[in-house]
Amino acid sequence: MAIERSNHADAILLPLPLREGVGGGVHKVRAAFSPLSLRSDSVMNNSTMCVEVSQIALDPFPHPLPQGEGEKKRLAALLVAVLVMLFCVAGVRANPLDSLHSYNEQLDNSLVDYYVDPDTAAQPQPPAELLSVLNPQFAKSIKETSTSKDILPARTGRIHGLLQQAITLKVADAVKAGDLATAKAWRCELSLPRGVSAVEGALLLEQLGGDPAKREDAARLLTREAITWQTTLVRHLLDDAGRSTSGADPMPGRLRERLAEVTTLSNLPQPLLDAAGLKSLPPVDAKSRDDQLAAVYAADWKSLPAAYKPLRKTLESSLPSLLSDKERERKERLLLKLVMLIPREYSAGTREGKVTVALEYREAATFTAQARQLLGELAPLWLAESDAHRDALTNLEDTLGKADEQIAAVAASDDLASTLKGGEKILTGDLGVSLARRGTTADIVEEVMLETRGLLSQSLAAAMNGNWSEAEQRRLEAYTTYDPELEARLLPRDPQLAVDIEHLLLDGLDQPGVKVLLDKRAGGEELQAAYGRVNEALDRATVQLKSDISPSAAVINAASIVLREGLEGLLVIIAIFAGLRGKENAHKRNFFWIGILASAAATAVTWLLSQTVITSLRNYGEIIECVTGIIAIGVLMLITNWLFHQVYWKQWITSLKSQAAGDESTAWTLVTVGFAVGYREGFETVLFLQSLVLDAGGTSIGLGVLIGCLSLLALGFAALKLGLKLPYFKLLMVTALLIGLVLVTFTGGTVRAMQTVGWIPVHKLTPGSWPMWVGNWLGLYNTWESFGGQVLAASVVLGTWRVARFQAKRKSAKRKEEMLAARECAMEASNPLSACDPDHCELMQPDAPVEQIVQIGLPNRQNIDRPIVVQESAVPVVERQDERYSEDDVVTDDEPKFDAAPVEAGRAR
Amino acid sequence: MMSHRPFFALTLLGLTTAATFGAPAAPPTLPQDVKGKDGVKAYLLAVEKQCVTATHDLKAAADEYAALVAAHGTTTAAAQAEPQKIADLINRLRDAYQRMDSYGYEYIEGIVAGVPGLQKYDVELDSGIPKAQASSPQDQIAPVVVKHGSVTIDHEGSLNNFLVEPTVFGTNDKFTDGQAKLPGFDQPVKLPKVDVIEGLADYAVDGYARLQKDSEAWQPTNKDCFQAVYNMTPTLADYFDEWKESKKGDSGGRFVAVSRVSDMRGIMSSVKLTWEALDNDVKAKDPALADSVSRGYEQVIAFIDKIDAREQKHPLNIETIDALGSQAKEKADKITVQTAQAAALLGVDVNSK
Repeated sequence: MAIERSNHADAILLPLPLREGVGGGVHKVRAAFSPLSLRSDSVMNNSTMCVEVSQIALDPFPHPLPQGEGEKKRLAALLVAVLVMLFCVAGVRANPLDSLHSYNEQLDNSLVDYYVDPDTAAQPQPPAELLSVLNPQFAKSIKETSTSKDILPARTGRIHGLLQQAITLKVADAVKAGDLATAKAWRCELSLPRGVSAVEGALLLEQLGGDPAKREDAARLLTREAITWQTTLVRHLLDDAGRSTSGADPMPGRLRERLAEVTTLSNLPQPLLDAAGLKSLPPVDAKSRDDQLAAVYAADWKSLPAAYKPLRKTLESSLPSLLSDKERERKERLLLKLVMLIPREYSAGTREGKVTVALEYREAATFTAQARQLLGELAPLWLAESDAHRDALTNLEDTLGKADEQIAAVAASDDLASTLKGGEKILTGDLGVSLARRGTTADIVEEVMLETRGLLSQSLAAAMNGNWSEAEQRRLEAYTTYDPELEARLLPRDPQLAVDIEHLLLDGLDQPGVKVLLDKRAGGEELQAAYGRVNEALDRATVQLKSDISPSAAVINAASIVLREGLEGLLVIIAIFAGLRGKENAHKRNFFWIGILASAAATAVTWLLSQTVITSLRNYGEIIECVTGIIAIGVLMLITNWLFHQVYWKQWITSLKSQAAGDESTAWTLVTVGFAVGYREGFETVLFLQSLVLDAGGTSIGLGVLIGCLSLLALGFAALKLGLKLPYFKLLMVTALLIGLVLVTFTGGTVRAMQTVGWIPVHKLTPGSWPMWVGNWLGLYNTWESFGGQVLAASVVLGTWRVARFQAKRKSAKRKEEMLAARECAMEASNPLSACDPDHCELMQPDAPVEQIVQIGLPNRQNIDRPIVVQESAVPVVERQDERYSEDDVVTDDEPKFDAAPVEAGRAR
Repeated sequence: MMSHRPFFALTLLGLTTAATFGAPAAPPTLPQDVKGKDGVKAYLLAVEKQCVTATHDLKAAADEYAALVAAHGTTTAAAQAEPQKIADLINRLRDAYQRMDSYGYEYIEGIVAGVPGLQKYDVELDSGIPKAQASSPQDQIAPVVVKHGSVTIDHEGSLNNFLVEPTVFGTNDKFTDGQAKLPGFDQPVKLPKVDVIEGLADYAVDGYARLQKDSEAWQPTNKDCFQAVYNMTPTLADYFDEWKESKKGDSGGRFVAVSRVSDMRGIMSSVKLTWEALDNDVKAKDPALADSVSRGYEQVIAFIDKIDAREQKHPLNIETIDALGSQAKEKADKITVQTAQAAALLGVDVNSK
């Protein structure tokens, strides 16, 4: 606080409260109430404090007045000024929402006052603090309307409409800014006519609004939601107006009020169009509308119905529609499906006027509400289309209203079925709606979701009736309906939710999943609750799937899919290449490459076919995953076994002839291995990318695939390069371990796939759920079957390793024995006193093969003087001092431990 | 306004005192702090206790009326012979009815009609229609059958609105027997049939006792409370329609005891109270939504008071009634949609039974 000295020693100080932040900043003021000034320091220190308030420039008393009276007047003036300032400050700091509430109340009161006595009613003025936070275009319109010459009900009706549109924009702006609290608060101010639902928008706000990448989408969807509500409100107002014009009691004010609100809400200004993501709307014949309005206002009450009818038609035709032709077709199809599905759900959930399966009953009620919502969205289009559509709309609304009442009253299921049969006829007969799906499948989220839920309901109904196999079959159908279309789309948006849904359908998360309970033959509340959890997760998925996927997200997702799937195969490739090192194995490597390239070609062909001919293969994706997984596990076991025996077997000591003899079978094996490993990953990649490309477009996905492939190539090249630098043994061990890990992961994933398709039951291992990444990366899932499979696979790997070690040890021991025996024999043979009969020693026979002789380090007796040729590439025999055998003793190329020739004479190298 | 009333304990004390000393009919005191779902149940039981007391008073007055009529032979003879006593008994019958229904049941209707386990009592006691008026299977027919002496009343509507009220106020000739000029009444009073009022009083004692017993066994849940607010809030608009019709005099003898506005106030007050039990849970998830719903209920109650005040001041024309009806409907519709949203936030499905 700065203290300023004054020229006047007798100045008065006022103990005023500190005001900060007024008008965006604190303004120090020189108190201009002459002769007010600040006293000396001594007084200031004792009692008062300086005040900082809005800058003012009042100078009511330019000349000093006589002391006594002057002081009083100064004090009074200062008090007045302070009070004014305080009110201003209070006004500026008022909450705009509070101002809105107050303003709405004033509008309602003024309307009623008008109807009681027009002369006593006064138009309330919009508060400045409210206008200051609204979009300037709307603020201006509201202000102008409140002072226009029209009658009060018309002004109020228009203001109501403008406020709704302005609030809609506030919500959108707050969402885009990431201010969810403000968005929610303004959203609560929107009118909610009977029959609409605010649940989905609330979920959308929570799920999408919190993600910076999805805010634009969320804002757009919420704006559209609000416009749909306002369209519903308009139709209610038109209904009310129509009824009142047919009544005996004239209500001209009410008519003007309603029509003013209707015309306002029917017109979407540009800011609202932009927020809703609409380019433009079809032009409205404003002249006809205005002429018809004028005719209605001029008509006497008795002739009003005739004048109102064409106006209503014009106004309904001008309602904003947010649906494209494709969206319209899809929603009509969805509406028909709902109308057909509701009685089935209801019938499955009730019996003789009582609710037997709450979930089914609830689904029937939910689907009815959804159908009414869809009608609201389709209404603007139908009303503008034809009289037949208009009548159909009215009839369908009556039908669904009646269905609502019947469901609430738990009426007989036949009655409900009969009611909705009428609705079905209206849709298929009058409106020509067909269930045949046309066009691309890009916009099928709601339909697939509905089908999925329908199948789940059928599954539950079957289970409740004890038809367990049918229940499982329907559950599987539900999953295979959901998985290829929706899960693939959901993964890039919310991978955790996608995984959770899968868990809920299988083993569950914190509570048992559907399949676990079906396998246990559980029933009643527990089973219903499990299905309920799936439905709730599907609701959240529906919200997520309404948002678009950004190009960058699509690229990242495509690249990560390629990387993830490719990495598994890459490990196997590295392992095999590690085992096929050296020039002598170049042709084997080529065979393997042929297999890999063939798998790449097959993947490309599969991709092309997937876009056209074999779209239905998506439904069998899980089964194909099972089959290829089993093949891959077998292949990996073979490779693992081979790798360990590479480590411990001395297979290199073979003749070229035997090598050549083995090449044919080896070649086909390697081609098959390369193809199997490559195609399994390729097929899974195609499945995932297929749906993604429909969602995000080919360009983004193509770029992502390219990035993924290049990354894989770089990784593979680096790994191979690095691997070649490693000592042979170490490389083999590393690759063997990695292959073992891949085998265990594959096993877990394949068992999971088999559980998904119902080939294997599901029994939870531990309560709760395991983190998503252990499943994705290690194939670890919380079921006995998958974990047990992995333990078995690991046992096989370890067993293979132990067997390989044991066999090598045995072989080494045997070889050692033979070597020692042969040495003794040789020593004996050269010793004239030896009892060894060289003629009967088979090792001494002339036709004893050179290889054998070399293997045991014995000279050929017949060729005792002939140098013994030891192959350069032979793995030297190890002579051990003791029986124990360890990896240290495994000889590598550059670490020969033993001189192959026990007979030194004539040995040539 | 109801919200500025004393604390809950004083409420109970007030109700008990009023019941004991037979205070004139007056609306029950709503607690300022509901204290959760248990508070809703406590309020329900407190008001039901008053209702039960009122049914016994109705029965006592009916018995005395029957004895007096029996002593003189017919109702008109009794009225001629002892007009003051008959007048007093008529007043006692009407007062008991108001304490039982207008200032009793109507203040818990929002809870009883909304809670699935108690809904059947609403059909029986208040909302059920006569069998003859049912036009579709969805219409709720009151299952009331009364037999007393030579009289049988079989599915002729709910106890409070179709039977007791027309009987004690003489608006249904089927339930009355002659009329008489009585002291303290401006117009001749149609006298209740003895067997009818006796039978109805017995039924009332039994019916409210059953309601009280089931209410004591009721364990309130979030779902019950949401169901109550979700089901009952839209009825405001329906009641306004009936109010409009009653203004035109086409109420079939009903809605004359107390203005229907009073009934609406009672229903909305109990619905608002039920919402307050849920408010904190909703606030934890979405403060803006909780505030909006709470404010909506306060506006609805204030709105009803406002209508009542205007109605008392001067008669309302049809346009004013229409405007008020629309404003009420708009408020009620919004709260209905918002309570469904709030229920979804707490994982409660208001569409299930």
